[in-house]
Amino acid sequence: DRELYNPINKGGRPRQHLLSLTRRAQKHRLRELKRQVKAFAEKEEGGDIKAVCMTLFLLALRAKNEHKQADELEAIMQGRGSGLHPAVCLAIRINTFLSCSQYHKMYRTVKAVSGRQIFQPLHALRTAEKALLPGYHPFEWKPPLKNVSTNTEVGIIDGLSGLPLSIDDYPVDTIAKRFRYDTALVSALKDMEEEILEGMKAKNLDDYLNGPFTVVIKECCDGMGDVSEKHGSGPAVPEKAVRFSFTVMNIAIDHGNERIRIFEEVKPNSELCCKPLCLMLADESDHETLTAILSPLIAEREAMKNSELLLEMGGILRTFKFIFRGTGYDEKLVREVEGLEASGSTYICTLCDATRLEASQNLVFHSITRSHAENLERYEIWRSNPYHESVDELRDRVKGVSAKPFIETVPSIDALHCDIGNATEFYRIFQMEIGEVYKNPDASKEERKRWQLTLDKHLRKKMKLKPMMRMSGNFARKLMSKETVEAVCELIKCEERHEALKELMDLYLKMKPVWRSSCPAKECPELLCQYSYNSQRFAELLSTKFKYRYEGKITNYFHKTLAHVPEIIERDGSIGAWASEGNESGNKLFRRFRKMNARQSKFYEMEDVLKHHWLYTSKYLQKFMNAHKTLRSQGFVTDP
Amino acid sequence: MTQPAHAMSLQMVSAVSNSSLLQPGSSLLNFDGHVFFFGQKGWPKRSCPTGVFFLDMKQNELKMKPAAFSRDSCYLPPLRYAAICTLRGNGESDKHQYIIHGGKTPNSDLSDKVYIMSMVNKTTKKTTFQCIEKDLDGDVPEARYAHTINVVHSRGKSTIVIFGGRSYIPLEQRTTEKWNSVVDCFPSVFLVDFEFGCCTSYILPELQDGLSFHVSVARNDTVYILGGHSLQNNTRPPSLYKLKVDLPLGSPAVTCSILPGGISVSSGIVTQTSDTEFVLVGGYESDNQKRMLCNTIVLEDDKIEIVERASPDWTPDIKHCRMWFGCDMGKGSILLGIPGANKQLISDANYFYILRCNTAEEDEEEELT
Ligand SMILES: [Zn+2]
Repeated sequence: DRELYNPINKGGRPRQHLLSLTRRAQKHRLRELKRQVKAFAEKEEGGDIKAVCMTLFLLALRAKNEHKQADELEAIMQGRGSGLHPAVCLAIRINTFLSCSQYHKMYRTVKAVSGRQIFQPLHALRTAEKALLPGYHPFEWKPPLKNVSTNTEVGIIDGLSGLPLSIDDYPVDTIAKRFRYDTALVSALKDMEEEILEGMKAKNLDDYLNGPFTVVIKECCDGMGDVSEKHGSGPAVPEKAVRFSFTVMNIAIDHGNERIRIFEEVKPNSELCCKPLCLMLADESDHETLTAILSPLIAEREAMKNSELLLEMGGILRTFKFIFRGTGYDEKLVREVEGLEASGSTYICTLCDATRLEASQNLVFHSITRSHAENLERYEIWRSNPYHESVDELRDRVKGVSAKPFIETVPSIDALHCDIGNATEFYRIFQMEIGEVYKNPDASKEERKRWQLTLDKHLRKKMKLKPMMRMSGNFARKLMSKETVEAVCELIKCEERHEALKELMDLYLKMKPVWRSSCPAKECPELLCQYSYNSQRFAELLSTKFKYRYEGKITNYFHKTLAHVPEIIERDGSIGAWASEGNESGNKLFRRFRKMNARQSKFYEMEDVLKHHWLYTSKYLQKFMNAHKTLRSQGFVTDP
Repeated sequence: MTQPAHAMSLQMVSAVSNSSLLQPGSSLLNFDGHVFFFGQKGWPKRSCPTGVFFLDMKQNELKMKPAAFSRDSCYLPPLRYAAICTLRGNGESDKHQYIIHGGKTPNSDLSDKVYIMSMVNKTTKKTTFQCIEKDLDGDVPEARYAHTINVVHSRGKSTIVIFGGRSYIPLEQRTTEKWNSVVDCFPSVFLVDFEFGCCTSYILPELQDGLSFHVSVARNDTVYILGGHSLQNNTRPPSLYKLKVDLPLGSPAVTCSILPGGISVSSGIVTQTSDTEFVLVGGYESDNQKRMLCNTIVLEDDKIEIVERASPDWTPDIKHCRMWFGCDMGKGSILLGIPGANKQLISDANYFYILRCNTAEEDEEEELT
């Protein structure tokens, strides 16, 4: 048999790979096989050559365990002839920020030019997106959610939630759109149905039916700053926006005495899994508006804590419990929603009660003591002043809680802002080292300005770092490096100061991966072990060599970095995974969707942005998109 | 002065420090001619933990200076659209307190608490208040806003009258999709015994519809309820109710009569210009119509008279803005605010005017200007 198929190598040229040949050459090389397949198909399959070839191909994929690709290919093949599956079309439309009319134009052109319907018409996309948006899948809560309607067919709703708009009432300067929290969670779970079922299979739990699935949700909320996009009619609303979003972090099943993870988000800081729940055109420091819009969401979340979700998954009705962890807030917003004084306060920490002075005297040993429940108790003490104390005594009793908290957050460190905050501090230290503040602490404003200019100039020359108005994540990353500190040392005469500065940076760079990585125990186990040692040495340096800056003072982020990292890692396994970066990178999506996909009307644009952003985070669509990309890269699909 | 006795003067306040704290629904308290501000936007900050400010008027400039609380005070939250009235002491006629009930907190919650605010110390540098929470008992009025509170006297005794307002839908019916919807409170009249905080409510057949953003004035044993907005019918009924309270030895009695001559106005602002005379300014005739007319309300024993009076020369920006707001500064003056053109600029959030209604008695206002 083998003899028959000995490769024919005409002319002694090296034999090229089949896939790299031109279609003509491919035809030529396979002509014998094609003849045989044709004969087989005519004899056995009623002449359907295509079916035989496709089946062979799929079987070949499956034989090599490439089931995923085979499934996707199968799906694509089933989607009307050679056209793309509607989900692929939708994924392409969302991913490339095409508006409906732009898409329609493309669809028409391709159809006219190629004579084939490669892209699906808009209505097919609409049908596909309906199933992906909240409000599609039926579900039930047991017991029914307190204060939440039992109607499950609820899509995008008005974020004002019935806020009175009469002229006598408080003026409402916002437009807000949101999903109901429970419908959004259901939609998110159904969107990842396949992952959940696969996860169960992988843990040999596919016949596991009873008992609840525990779903852990990360919550993020952040102001987006200025999003001005001058267009549309409607009321004057602030050109600032706030988004509340969530990420499904993991899903586990209690099996026997074990809790078995069947799903874990591998990229918890990606904008691809950070699902928007509520959008508003409002300033995050407008407390009245923020509370009016977010209170109903919070009421939904509180209700879900005490109830179980009944939802069909893999054809079986299953129960789900939710754990909500509000870690994706920056310090400013944590303080705003938990009733703490603004970040300049002497109560410098959102995790413990330390004052700036206490934290500077004891740099390392503090434990997490603050909690939402205690913040609420403390507010009530502040309000009622039961011990008839002076304002200072009372303030010290409640440790700076002087507003009523309204969102429960989890006391944690915001990894991104921690980096930025600490880099800002190093940037200042560099300037002070240039000015030799350790020797002469009484420098004038002008002198300090000069040090900064010197530093900026040098960093630009040596590190290609352009001075910025506000420290950004990128600037922070580049600034916090061995190379930078070496460059800075060129501006400093004293050898001893070089050593101190280099050691400080070295320690910092050893500490940073611990709070940045998604799983430090796996990604940097040694650094995790050394963290306490490194942080103590760092603290020692601050209080000796850098005493001029840290005597009786410490910055909020240095305190958190030095005092709280190990405890949080022990509690959560990671700090980085619980950060708000997915939400942050969602901000640029907001701008793009608003510009490209939203109707140019203040009333509708938020709705359109929310819908597109939601679809953008669909794992189902992402899978189709990835399959499409793979096929395209392998030449199976042609882009028109 | 050549001005007629009834003329009103409108003066623009050129600059207001912290003006973004002044918002619709804020209140002003007048202690001995000094005006204090309460009900700031947002929660109080470190610079003024009480949220109460002395409004210092100097040459058309309004400066807000933090006021302090005494040790035995509680730190009430800022409250928007709270019901506020004065309570005169028995002894020295000058000593008086303010009663504050209900209102919206910065968290968009409604308060059901009563606070009593009195001034304990005033120097040029610092003012200290005592703020006490009054415990209520019995048939306690539910948390509400945009209602009114008054004090009436009968047979040598006094009591507090609370009426109207809005509240959120009762919790058992409230759903998150309509979480912020409000309804008229049931139109019962609440009497609150000042000494013991004991509350009783009265359902009166004359009061059929809920009412909020109405005006109330009191004299002796009578409270007059004028105008307001009824949410249920979305109307501004031109109604005038007279609530008469009798405080015999046994249980109190409240009677209500409907009087002719009411006015269709919501969010009207009333200031007292003399023992028997009040001036009504501002508010809305309908959802898109400000009420530019002004009225004098004269209360004599058992009698009320409401007559139109000449309006001040409203400036073009006042005439043309859609909404306005304000509050009584006491002693015949009113602080009026209109939204600024650019909401993005905090300094430009609102513009303010002071309207003086009793220019005949200018001497008394010396302290204000
Ligand atoms: Zn701390």
